[in-house]
Amino acid sequence: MQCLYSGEMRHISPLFGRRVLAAPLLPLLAAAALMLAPVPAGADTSSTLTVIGTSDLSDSGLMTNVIQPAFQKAFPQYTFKYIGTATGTAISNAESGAVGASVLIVHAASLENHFVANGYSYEKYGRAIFTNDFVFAGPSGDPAGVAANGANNIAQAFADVASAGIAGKATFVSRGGTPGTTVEEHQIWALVQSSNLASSGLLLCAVNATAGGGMTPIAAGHGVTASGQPCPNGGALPTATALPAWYVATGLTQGPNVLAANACTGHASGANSCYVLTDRGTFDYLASGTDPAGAVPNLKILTRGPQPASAPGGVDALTNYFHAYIVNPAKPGQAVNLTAAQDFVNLLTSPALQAQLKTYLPSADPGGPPFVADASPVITAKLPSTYRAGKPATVKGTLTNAQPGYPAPANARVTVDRVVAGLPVPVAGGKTNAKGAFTIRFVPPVNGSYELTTSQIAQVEDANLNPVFSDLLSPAATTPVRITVHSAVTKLFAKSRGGKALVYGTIAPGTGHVKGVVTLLARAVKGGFRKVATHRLGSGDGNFAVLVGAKPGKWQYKVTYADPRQVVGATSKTIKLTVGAKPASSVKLASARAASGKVTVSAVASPTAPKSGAKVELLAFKATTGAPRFATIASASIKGKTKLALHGRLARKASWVLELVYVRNGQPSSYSALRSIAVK
Amino acid sequence: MAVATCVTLAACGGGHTATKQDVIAQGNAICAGALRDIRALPAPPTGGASTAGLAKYLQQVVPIIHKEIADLRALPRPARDRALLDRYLSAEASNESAYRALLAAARSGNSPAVSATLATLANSPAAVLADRYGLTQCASASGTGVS
Repeated sequence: MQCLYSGEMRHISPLFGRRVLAAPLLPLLAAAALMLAPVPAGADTSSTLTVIGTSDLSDSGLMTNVIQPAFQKAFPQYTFKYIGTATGTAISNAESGAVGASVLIVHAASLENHFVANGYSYEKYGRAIFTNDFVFAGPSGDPAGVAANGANNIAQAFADVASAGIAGKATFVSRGGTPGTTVEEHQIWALVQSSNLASSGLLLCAVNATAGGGMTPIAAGHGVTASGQPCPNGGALPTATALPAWYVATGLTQGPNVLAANACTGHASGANSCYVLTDRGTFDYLASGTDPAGAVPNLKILTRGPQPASAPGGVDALTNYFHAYIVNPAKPGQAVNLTAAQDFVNLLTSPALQAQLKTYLPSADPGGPPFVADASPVITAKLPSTYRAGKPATVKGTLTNAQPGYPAPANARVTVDRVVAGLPVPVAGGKTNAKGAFTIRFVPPVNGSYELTTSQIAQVEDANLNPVFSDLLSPAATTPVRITVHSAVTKLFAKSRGGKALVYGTIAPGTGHVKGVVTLLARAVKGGFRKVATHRLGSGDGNFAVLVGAKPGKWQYKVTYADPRQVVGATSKTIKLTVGAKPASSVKLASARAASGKVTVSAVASPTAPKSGAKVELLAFKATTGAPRFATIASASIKGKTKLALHGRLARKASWVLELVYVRNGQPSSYSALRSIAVK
Repeated sequence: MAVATCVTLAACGGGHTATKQDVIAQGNAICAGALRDIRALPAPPTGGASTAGLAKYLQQVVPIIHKEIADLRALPRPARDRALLDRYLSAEASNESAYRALLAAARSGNSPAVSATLATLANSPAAVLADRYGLTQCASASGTGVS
């Protein structure tokens, strides 16, 4: 049909084909021949890529006009060849390695499942790439009355053509064999049978699973006495002589088969009486007038999907699912260019090519462009453009399988990523339920672009087939959204430390700080606030504590938080504190060290305590996470001495702030300065 | 890094002198492929919240980025806007170093270094330069929605 596509199958060339061989070498070569599987003459090399697959892609022009140019432009290092043929034939050739194909593109789940089960797919399953839809075309005169009776009911349409055919008024032009379209046709004939739509003269036999299952018309007198019985020879497809007169199997690829129906010559039903099941991509291309192979002025689409749910086969009975497989190079006889094959299927599933599909054949067809992207599932959710820190943001959404009629991805992980220089950095995640719904709570740590993504998903699509049919859904991502993070001071406390004020609290978000600074502002009851201290936060510090000197009396404090370019800054509420008088005693934190979760602090207290009951306590404040509070982790008596060591335990992998308190009965306690320490 | 730059597309399998449009098509495919490979990785179960989880994730990401940048650097560099392309590739080389630093920081649990390196990467000029050259797939992580 098109010269770019080679329909012929290349034969395996014999290994060591030269006739003149030195006799002593023969045994060695014979042994080698046994060890090495033959490599096909047309096998892919590192500079070639051969793809074999359905003629839907070649005959619709999608390969010539969209896929091949895109691939050759992006990967000019490969010489590309597409062999368009029937799906069943393509699978057989991919399995045998006969044409040296590295990639297979087909559209018959009930054949693909065997290809996968037999280990011929390099990846776990084939990748979903796109759908189009099967349509049933016939002559404008429509002698079978399909348009009136079965415009949205394909089983009814088939039954009507069969009835008209038996009456000598119509011919069903099938491709025969095991192309994806014929496999689909057989499923529809099975619907005719199961829905009791078959007229009395229609005899249908069951096709075996190897040929894709379903049913096919057969003439009486060929071993089938009642519809539903297996076709002769173990359910094999009937030979041409066993077909009823109104049903012809052309053995042609998609486009030529439609052209044969358009010509409709040599049939007893006469001209303009032929009906054909085809894919809409091929039909639209022929109908567009731009297909160099010809045109179909005598045909129009009479039946198309989606069907009503009540129609046999349901809403999506006419959906045409395409999948791409990298041929497993480990299988005998294969010469797969794995790099090129991966480049090709990656391109097929890329957002750019998937988006391009809707630009192909944007005809006046009411169905719209025939090829519909479905490589990645669709994430429906909305990330907030503004996040106000304090409590986690919640994003709810659904993950939908883009392949109509196939189940929602269940138990699939959905991730919120921060996009940094093009790199998705996961921030949080959740899983979908059985309906694909998910809820994720997350805290965006800084201003930036965020997206929702799913990884590659292995998905069971049709559990009724044996083996079960599964496929791979490519990673999905929402368009990144810029989130502006407004930070917050969520908690703020102040305590008197006798001539000093201890102010501490919590900052949100509590991680991802780069130049995060807490500034403490103070004022007496009258007057304006002024800066009295600054505190630099560690990158993972959610809490802060600041100790500042203050005259005894009433004070008001507030803090501001800033981390330029990372978040929008925050100002706390104002809190009040009465600072007490400086105590007569003092305590100093002389040194602190931590190792393996154990902390040792040296303290110097003054004056010494002659009586028992006086003690020094070690307080610890976790800066990293958790409620902001100073807790006692060690205590030691100071009777009769001024120096002592305290030992305590602290959680590892966290930053802590230490403080000592000198407690004397009946006397105000005194406090040390604060000391930050990282416990690894 | 060994760089095999194709002077013409003949050296890369084609038969004519590479144009800027050729480089854009090939570069975009390289970037799209790398992004797909990264997105196909299983996300760490804890998200990126823990440095250990981030390190495990980055360990798989960095080789993909390395290959991406090596492939980009191997592209022809036609005369038109060559300086811009050079600047972009230089920025990407810096990014690769930053990604490696990020991995090292995450491995050692050094949160401050993780945050600082992420901030450095967020301010990288690579995306702007890629976009200016026409390498749109290299400029941003576009979504997959095609409706």
